[in-house]
Amino acid sequence: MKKILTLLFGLTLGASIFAQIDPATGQGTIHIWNTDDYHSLNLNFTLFTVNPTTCSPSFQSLGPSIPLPPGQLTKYSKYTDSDTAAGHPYPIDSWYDGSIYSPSAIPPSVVYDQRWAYVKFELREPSNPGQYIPGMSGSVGFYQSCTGIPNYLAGSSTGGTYSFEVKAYVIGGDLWVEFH
Amino acid sequence: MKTKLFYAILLAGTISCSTESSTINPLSTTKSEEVQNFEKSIKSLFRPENAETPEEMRTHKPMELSDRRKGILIPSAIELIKSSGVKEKEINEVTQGDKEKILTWAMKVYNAKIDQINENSKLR
Repeated sequence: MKKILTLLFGLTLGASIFAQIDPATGQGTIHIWNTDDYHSLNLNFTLFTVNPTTCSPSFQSLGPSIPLPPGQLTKYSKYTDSDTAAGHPYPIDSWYDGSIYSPSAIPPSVVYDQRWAYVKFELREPSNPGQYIPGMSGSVGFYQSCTGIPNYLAGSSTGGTYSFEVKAYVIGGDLWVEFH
Repeated sequence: MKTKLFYAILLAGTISCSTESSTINPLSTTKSEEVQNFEKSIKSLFRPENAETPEEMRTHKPMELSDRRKGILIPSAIELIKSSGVKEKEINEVTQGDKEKILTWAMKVYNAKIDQINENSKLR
């Protein structure tokens, strides 16, 4: 019986230790929504994580290489369920903190206290994805006291062709970033 | 000991399987109406009439929803939880009408349903 309990405890610990969500509650998944209310642009983004207890920055995602199309919504819970191997539709296969890591190569002891912090983004035309649109980029997110990144941002492209608004919310313990 | 273990595994399997079938359509690769309505209600927070009032900005942390704005999400959140096989009476008993608890529960159902859709899409 002791062995069974040890095994169950081990499985529980193993499941919760790779977390950018709160391992105690399972909350803190980040949802990113490129609504097409104001425009029909692709959302190119990278994600940043932070240790909110110490305010030390953690990792920046190298990817996803696939932009989020207009009207699409995606979410990320853990490094390890966000990559190609896990079948994520907008996969992040590498993380950077001065060195490059695959999701499974990040030590659990490092990962345990990390949380999703903010999104750095650029909105680009699907028909001309290589072309940067001045004014249609920025960063928005959570843990303002650590990161200094705002939870709301609005802007427009030079010449006023496009405009955007983006807001970060906490809903039911999860993080939502909505682009309009 | 072996008999007890056998029954424990059997019970765990039964609970797991019954929860699985009641929460998620195992074959679906599209969002259900309840999921879509929950998303729509979240999107509606951006509408001018649902925006934060100056009083709410003063009394709430910047990213936290006021009680009024949580209320906008509650009907679709309850429908989403019910779509997982839970009765409204049980929702009321567990949450006691606490909006944050309802939204937390709904978010867990939402995440599980999206994960299942992604999983099903992979298999096709």
